[in-house]
Amino acid sequence: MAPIYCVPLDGFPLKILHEIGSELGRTFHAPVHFLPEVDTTEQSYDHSRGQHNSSSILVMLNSIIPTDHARIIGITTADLFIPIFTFVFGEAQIDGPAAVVSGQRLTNEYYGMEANNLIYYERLLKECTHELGHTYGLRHCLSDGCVMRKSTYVEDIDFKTSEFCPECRTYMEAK
Amino acid sequence: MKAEEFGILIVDDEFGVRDSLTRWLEKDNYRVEAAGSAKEALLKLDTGSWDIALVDLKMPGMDGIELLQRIREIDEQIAVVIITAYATVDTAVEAMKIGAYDYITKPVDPDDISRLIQKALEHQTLAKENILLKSNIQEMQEQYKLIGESPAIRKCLEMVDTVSKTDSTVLIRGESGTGKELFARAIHLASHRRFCPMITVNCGALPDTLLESELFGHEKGAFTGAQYRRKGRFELADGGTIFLDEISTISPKTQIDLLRVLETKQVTRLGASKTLKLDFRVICATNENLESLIKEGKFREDLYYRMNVFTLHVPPLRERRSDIPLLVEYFVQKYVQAMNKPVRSVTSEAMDMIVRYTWPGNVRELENVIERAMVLCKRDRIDVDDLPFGLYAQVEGDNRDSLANVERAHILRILHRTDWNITHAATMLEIDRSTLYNKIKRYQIDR
Ligand SMILES: [Zn+2]
Ligand SMILES: [Zn+2]
Repeated sequence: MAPIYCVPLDGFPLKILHEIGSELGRTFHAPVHFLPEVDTTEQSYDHSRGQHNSSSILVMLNSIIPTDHARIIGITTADLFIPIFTFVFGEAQIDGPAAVVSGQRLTNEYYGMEANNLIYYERLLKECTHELGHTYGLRHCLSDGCVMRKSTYVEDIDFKTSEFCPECRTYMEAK
Repeated sequence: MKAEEFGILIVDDEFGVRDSLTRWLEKDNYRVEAAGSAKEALLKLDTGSWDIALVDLKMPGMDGIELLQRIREIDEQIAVVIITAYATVDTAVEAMKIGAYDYITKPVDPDDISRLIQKALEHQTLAKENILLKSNIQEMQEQYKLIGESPAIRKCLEMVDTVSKTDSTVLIRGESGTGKELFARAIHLASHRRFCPMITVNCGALPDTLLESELFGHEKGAFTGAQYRRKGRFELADGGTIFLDEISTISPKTQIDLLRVLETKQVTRLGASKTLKLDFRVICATNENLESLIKEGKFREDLYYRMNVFTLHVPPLRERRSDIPLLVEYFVQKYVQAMNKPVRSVTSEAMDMIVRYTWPGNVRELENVIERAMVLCKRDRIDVDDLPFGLYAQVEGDNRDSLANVERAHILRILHRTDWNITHAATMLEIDRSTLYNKIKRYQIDR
């Protein structure tokens, strides 16, 4: 399996990035490399919305990917959007190389609840696995608990696991 | 249906919106394409099949509203969702009035759009059935116009029951106003095709050139004025029934085309090279004598035989007089609800007159007479005064226009007006009381 590159964006904490990265390596059976931090403000920050355009980040990630056939995932704490949407948890190119995930709306604090690092970590891992899954060509899956289930609410993320369902796993193993 | 079977077309002049929305929807497995302008969208609509169109309201050139109107002309079934900014929500609401399925205000929650699309697609899947369910209820009520216990109507209903179990072409014959379309609907609703639409075409109402494109549809540019592709009535009736009313009026050229369609169940849109294989049942109706039209060379004999697998003769109202009181009651109830008038029934004198009238315009004429009477009626029962004068003069008899008949009707009317006060009635009629008594006896008028 070609490597997965993990990129911290706009000051994302490296400790969590490394933990998530190594877990992704296990899930996708791929070597994981960490790239230096990138500031995306100039390229993706939309002043009128106060959010980062995730599609612009994908363009940037495509331009820095070191090797062919590899995957690249950027993780940020900035709030992401795509035009016409209020926000997105993340975005990825189907069969593409790049994915981006934001931790901003994955914390309990964001919803006025008591901070819980374990829950935050789990949500982040699920979203990263999900978006990377898209880069390998997986679409949304309807199986309960499958990580490829679509989540538009944070509760949806908590409801699913960080694992692929048998069908999605079979697909990934054939890769 | 699986997600990949649904086609979603995004129409937005902003590249960022098109691009990201396409990517986002593709992840749900939908077949997604994007167009950067209304013009490009029309091209895609011409060549592909779409279930949902997400249309930006504000675009340079043709805007979302105009595109919506065009889409409505081409295909009634696509759910058009208007994308709007807060500032233009009013316009979006207007768009709903001209047939948009819904609108979304930018920026929208991802969850809202997910749910909207799911709802729209469910709507698409159920659309045919829903429309039918709704019209079924209406139709079922209308079907009550088929009310009747007379042997003539019984025979008809038995025939409806028999032919509805087959898929054969039916020719419905009967005078105008007898309710041929209602019988066609009854056959359709009793058949296995009831969950698909029954499409009605009144062949007599359209000039020949229009009729052809109406029946068979046309491609863009098939003739002057054919700016866009349009589905024909046969296509719309796919899976269901097509009802061709006033079939005798179609031209020799259309007769040939129609014969071919009935034989092959294949339709080619005007200007198209591709033929469509369709599945429909044909019911035709006429109030003309087709046999004499054939003799005169105005109607093709081969088409006649193709249509005439089953013939249903709908009897004129005068041949089923015993059903008239039931029909009257039905129409009174119908208009009581519509007009909110406290009319409950019909006096026996008025009913007597209604039953005896010849009804050349059949059930339709009866309905019109009751509707008019309901408007005029100032009491709680429709009376002789509320009926059109023509009825007095034309009550059936060996000599229906006779002076005797007119006199009887007039006396009856005056008796009603005076509430059977013989002295008053006699004064008004300028005859003496004994003469009036004699006439009442002679004409067998009773209270
Ligand atoms: Zn996804
Ligand atoms: Zn799955």
